[in-house]
Amino acid sequence: MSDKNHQDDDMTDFAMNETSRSSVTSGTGTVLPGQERYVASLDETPLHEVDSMDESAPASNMWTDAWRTLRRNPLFIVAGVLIVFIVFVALFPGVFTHQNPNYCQLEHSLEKGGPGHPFGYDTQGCDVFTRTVYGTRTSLSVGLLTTLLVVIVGTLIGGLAGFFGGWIDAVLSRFTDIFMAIPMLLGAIVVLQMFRTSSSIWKIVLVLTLFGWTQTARIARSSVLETKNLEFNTASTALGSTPLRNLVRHILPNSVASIIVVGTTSLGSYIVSEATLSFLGIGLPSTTVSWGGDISNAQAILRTDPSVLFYPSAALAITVLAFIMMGDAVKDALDPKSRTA
Amino acid sequence: MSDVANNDIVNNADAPVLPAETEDRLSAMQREQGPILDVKDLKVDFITDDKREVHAVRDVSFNVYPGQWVAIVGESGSGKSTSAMAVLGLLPGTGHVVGGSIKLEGKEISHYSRKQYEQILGEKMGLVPQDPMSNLNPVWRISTQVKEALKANHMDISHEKRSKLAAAIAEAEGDINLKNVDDETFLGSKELPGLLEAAATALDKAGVRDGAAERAMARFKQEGVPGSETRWRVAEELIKAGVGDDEAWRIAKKYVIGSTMDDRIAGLLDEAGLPDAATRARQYPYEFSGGMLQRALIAIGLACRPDLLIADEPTSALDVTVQKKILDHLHTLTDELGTAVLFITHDLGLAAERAQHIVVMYKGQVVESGPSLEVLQHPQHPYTKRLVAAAPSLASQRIISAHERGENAEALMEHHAKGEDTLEKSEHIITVNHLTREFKLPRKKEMFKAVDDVSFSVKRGTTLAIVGESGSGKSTVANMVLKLLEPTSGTVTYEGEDISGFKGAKLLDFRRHVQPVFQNPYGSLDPMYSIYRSIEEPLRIHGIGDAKSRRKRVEELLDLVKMPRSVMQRYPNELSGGQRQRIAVARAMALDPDVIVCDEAVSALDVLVQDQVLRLLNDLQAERGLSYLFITHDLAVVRQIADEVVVMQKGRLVEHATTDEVFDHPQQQYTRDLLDAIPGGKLKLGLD
Repeated sequence: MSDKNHQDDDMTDFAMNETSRSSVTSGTGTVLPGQERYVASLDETPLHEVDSMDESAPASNMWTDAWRTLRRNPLFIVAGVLIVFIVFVALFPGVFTHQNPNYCQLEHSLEKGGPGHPFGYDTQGCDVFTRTVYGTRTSLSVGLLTTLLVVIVGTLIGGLAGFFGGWIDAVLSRFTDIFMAIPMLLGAIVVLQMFRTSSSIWKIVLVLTLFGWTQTARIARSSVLETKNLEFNTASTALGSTPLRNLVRHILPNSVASIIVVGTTSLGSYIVSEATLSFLGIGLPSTTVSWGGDISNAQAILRTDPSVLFYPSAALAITVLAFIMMGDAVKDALDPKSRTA
Repeated sequence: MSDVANNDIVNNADAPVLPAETEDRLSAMQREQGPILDVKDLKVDFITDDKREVHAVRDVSFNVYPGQWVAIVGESGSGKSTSAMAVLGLLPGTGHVVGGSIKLEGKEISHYSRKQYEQILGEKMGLVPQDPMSNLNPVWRISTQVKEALKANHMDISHEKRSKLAAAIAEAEGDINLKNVDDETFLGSKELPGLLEAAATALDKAGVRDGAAERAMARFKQEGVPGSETRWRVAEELIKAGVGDDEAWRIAKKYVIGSTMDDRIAGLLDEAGLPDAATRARQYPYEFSGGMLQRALIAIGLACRPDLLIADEPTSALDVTVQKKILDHLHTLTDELGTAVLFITHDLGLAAERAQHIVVMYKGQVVESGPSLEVLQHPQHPYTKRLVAAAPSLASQRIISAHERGENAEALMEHHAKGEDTLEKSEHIITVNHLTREFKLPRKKEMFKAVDDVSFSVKRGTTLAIVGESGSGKSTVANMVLKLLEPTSGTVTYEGEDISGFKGAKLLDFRRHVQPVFQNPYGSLDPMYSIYRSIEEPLRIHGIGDAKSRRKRVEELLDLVKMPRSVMQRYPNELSGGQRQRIAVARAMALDPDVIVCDEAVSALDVLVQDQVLRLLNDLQAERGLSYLFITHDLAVVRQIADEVVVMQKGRLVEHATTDEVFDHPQQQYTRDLLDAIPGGKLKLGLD
């Protein structure tokens, strides 16, 4: 910088010739009290190089920032612990109970809990604790698989619509609207009627996906639309990149955050839907252990023996709550609007 | 829209020059009344997410006297806006005052509650915010939003309220004889026709005829703005036109009997320089241009006649020509009303031109303050020296004054502009021929010509700047040169070949040689890409080198733009705007291009950072013989970088000459307007 100031002498010369413009300054003579010349000493505010880079600052990017925010969020910690526990139960139910959930003896019907059977027995004489433990697996698989499929289908359709625009967007968006107009539960009931005999959880997963992908598609579309017009895509094009490469390398990675948010938040609702369908008797057959089915079976004796209904309901509520809390925490951390640039 | 057309009433350059004695009286009065705003050792802290305290403002002191313009100058993050917001009690987020005092008219207000602040905001202190686009509610008419300000402060809409200072000056000068309170009643729109008629008759009776009478009537029509013109002024105008004293007052008393809310709103908007205010007031914000929105905000800020107006970068988002008009107008208006202005800006030239007193802030502290010209001519703190050296407006001013004094200005310039001879001999690397681009506008049949028959050529190793206001079509030209947009007609040739036919490998080769640097440093880098990946991307697309050689190239490029190599692992969100722009330059340089198209590449940056990036571009040109097509709205920057200038207005090329030629002998009025709008143009500067 010093080379810029080599003409200090000129400056003083010039000031002598200066004809002060009355409206701009009143000159030194009429300076008002408190507005005298003031120069801070250099020691107080050391001058840094222009726009210097602080190399000591910890590295950060979207994911590390999000992780840092998450780590401090009590909601995330509670939800995280619960989810880890729920996943563990689903993977290793044998650790918690040694019984077969389908081994029922009528002689134990509605017996109160005792050692080894803390939650007691249901009407059929099945161990409620064991069934609740094994029910975790069904609910969780339906939730996770549906979310996965919904994200894939939704991103594909929404992403293509947003990226290509024009008539492709018009067709795909109307297609999305049509599916959105069908109430998920109603549609699921109608479709599942046809597959009453199947005991595979896949029929539930596919039906929920069929009627659930629309929300993700919409989010993906708007997210792609927004990212598509950002300057770094133009910059890439000017570097010689093709549109398709831009979609894969720039647009989709930048849209992934909002899709993750919508995915985690809706996971809980798929679990609820599965339970609802099983409760209605058109979901999984009674041979497959599921909380919804158990709740349905227990509703008849709700007045006489509410505990049979209580345990699977509580398990369902806690699982759904955990995923919804996780969704909220992830949303706080990843939502582009709450993040500062 | 019609920012160009209005201002015929007040277009008297910048500060209205007061006669010397008035000024003495003014400063005596200021001395007597004491500062209207006195800030002492102000400290403001913010609390971060992890509960750390950040000292945004540290021991800041300054004061503002009635009727004075005081400017706070500093780069972004220097704490200038935070200080102003602390005064207004409008600190955002976790910001809070932790020490020092803020005195408004001698009363301590730093401890005020929100309720107490509501009492003084609007009435005692007004704000003109930075971004006109986001500070008006889009679902309400402009008039509703002005009305809100008047209602919230229970303003008497039928009487003029003047600041103490204005009243005191008027009284001291003795040229206004106010007989009673009602003399400050506003003229209403209902009575206006009657008044004009009576005035015409009175003139006729008084023997004022023909030309003189017509002129007087024309002035009445222009000045007689309902909701802004007062009784005593009407009387005075009549007397000046030749009507007898008693008759003049009789007419004034009969026809000036107070205004309605709508009149007052229109009057306020008219005062702020909005043409056809009564009609405009019924419109919605989206129907206004940026300049008009800013005028509406000025009207709102001044609606309750505050004694202090805080203007937070009021014109930073606007074109320079609009900026000049708005500030000129604001200056005249605040001088008339006796309003003190605390003006916040990052442009030292602008600050010195507008304010009597300058406060320079850096990293939350005041590093220098004093009378503006003195600070500008004898900057003492190294930071102020830097600012003075870097401000483009001042730099081009230095060159002009050197020219005027017959000195060799070459030494002052970073960029040594090539003369006409050199330019003529140079090879044309990019030629634009009769380029036209039309766009289809929604709901309109005819096509909109964004670019209309533009021809020029960029010579190898030189810089051609395209200058124009927003909407002049300059960016559209850039996009067509980059082949990101196809022209409707006309051609762009690169090294003699028409680029419209480029496809496949040929296009890739063209892309390799012509690279862009875009305006928005926050948008042009992919936030998901590390700096390394961003700079490496062009190499990857063109399949150049292996992982190892690419890494080496990225390191070289970072050295080239003077960024530390460690930055490779970081992400764009960790970098400042200027640093990102340097990374964007590094990315553009990765393929060793011949031509770089800079689309407003430095417009979003602080002056110091802007200066740094411009130097970098100049150095690169000198070292590598690059050619630049430099798009900007700021003529001051042009002087620092360009050899040739093309001036565009509404899609057409209006002037094309060498930089010196354009600065010394502008041919078109439009170019002269642009030159005039460079802040600090009228300042006498030392060659420091």
